[in-house]
Amino acid sequence: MDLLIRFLRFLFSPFVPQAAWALKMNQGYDAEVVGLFGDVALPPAAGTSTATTATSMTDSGATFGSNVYKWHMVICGTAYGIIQSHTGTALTIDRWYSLTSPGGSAASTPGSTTAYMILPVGGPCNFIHLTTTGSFTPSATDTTLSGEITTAGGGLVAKLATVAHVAGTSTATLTTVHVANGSDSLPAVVTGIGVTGSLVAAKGPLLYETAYGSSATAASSGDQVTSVDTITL
Amino acid sequence: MHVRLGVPVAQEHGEPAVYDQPIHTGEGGHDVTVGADVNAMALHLARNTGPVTHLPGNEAFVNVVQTFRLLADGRPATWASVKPTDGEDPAIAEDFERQLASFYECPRGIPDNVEETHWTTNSAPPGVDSGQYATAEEA
Repeated sequence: MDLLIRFLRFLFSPFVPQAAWALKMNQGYDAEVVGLFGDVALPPAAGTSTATTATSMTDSGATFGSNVYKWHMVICGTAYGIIQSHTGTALTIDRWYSLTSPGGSAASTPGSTTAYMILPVGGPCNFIHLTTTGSFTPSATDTTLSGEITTAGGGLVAKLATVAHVAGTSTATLTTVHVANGSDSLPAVVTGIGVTGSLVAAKGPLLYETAYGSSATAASSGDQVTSVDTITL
Repeated sequence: MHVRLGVPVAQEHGEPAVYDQPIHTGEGGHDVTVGADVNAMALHLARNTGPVTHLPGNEAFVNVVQTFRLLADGRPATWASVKPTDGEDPAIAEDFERQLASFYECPRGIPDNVEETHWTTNSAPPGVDSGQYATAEEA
C-alpha cells in the first residue's frame, strides 16, 4: 500500500485547482492603490470616538470629509473595521474584526469612548466568497459578487484565505478550503469566487472575481471545496 | 502557524526557494487534526481527483498540498517546517510539520544552510542573508 500511495502522490498530481487567474475589478484597482501606496497626504485621522455600534464609529468633533477614507482600516481599541463610507463625523464599517482572529466571529463593539486611528492604507483583501451563479462570468464593473452563498451558519460562506508565496517569484496565491456543514443548502454547485477586503457579504472592496474552470458540487456535509486564486504581483 | 517548505526549483529563477504560507488555525481558519493518518489522506486525494474532497478536520493539509503543487510546479517539497504563532498550541504546528514531512517524504525543519542555498523572503537570492533565519533553531 505504501508504494502505491507514494506512486499516486507525485505521479498523478491528483488535485484539480479550482480557480486559476483572477480578473481584477475596477474597484480593485482603486483598493490596490490605497493598499500599496496609501493616502499619506490626507489629514491625520485619530482621536477618541463619541459613539460606536456594531457597524459604525462616530467622533462628533472630527472633520473626516466625505468618503475620502473609503476602504481604509480604522483601528478602535483592539478591534478594526474596513470603512465602507463616511461623513464628516461618522464612519460606516463592515464589522469589527479581532486583530488575532479576523476570520472568526465579529469582535465586540468598542466602548463608546475609545481611542481610534484611521490608517493611511487599506485593509488586507484576503477573504474568499463563493458564488453559485450559473455560467458565472466575472466583470470588471462588478462591485458585489452575484449569487454569493450567505447561508447563516453554513460552511460555504466567506472565509479568511491563506496567502502563499515562493521567494523571488512574481506570483502569490490566495487559498481557502471551505467545508460544507449541516446548515448549508446542499447540494451546492459552486461556480466561482470573489476576493474582497471584507468577511461580510456584499461589502467591499471587491478586488478580484474568478470563474471556476468547472463547477464544484458540495453534495454532503463535510465535503470540501478548495479555491486557489493565483495573483501576478 | 507559519508553514515553510523547500521548493526544489522555482521556475522563474531556476533555483531552490522558500515557500511561505501563514495559516490561521483558530476560529474561522483552517483546521488541523493532530495525529491524522497521512497515508489515508494521500490515498483519499489520489482517489478524488476532482474539485471536491472530503477530509473534514484537515483543511490546512488540503490547503497546503493543493497550493504548493501549483507554486512548485508539481514537485514535492525538499523540507518542511511549521512553527506556531503566538497563542497557538505548539502541538498543532508540531504535528502538522510531521504530516507535511511524511507526505513529501522530506526532512523536518529549515536547513541550516538555507540562506546559502535558497532564495529566501525579502527576495534574497542564495548567498545573501535575508536576516530572517539567524539560525535554523530561531527561524
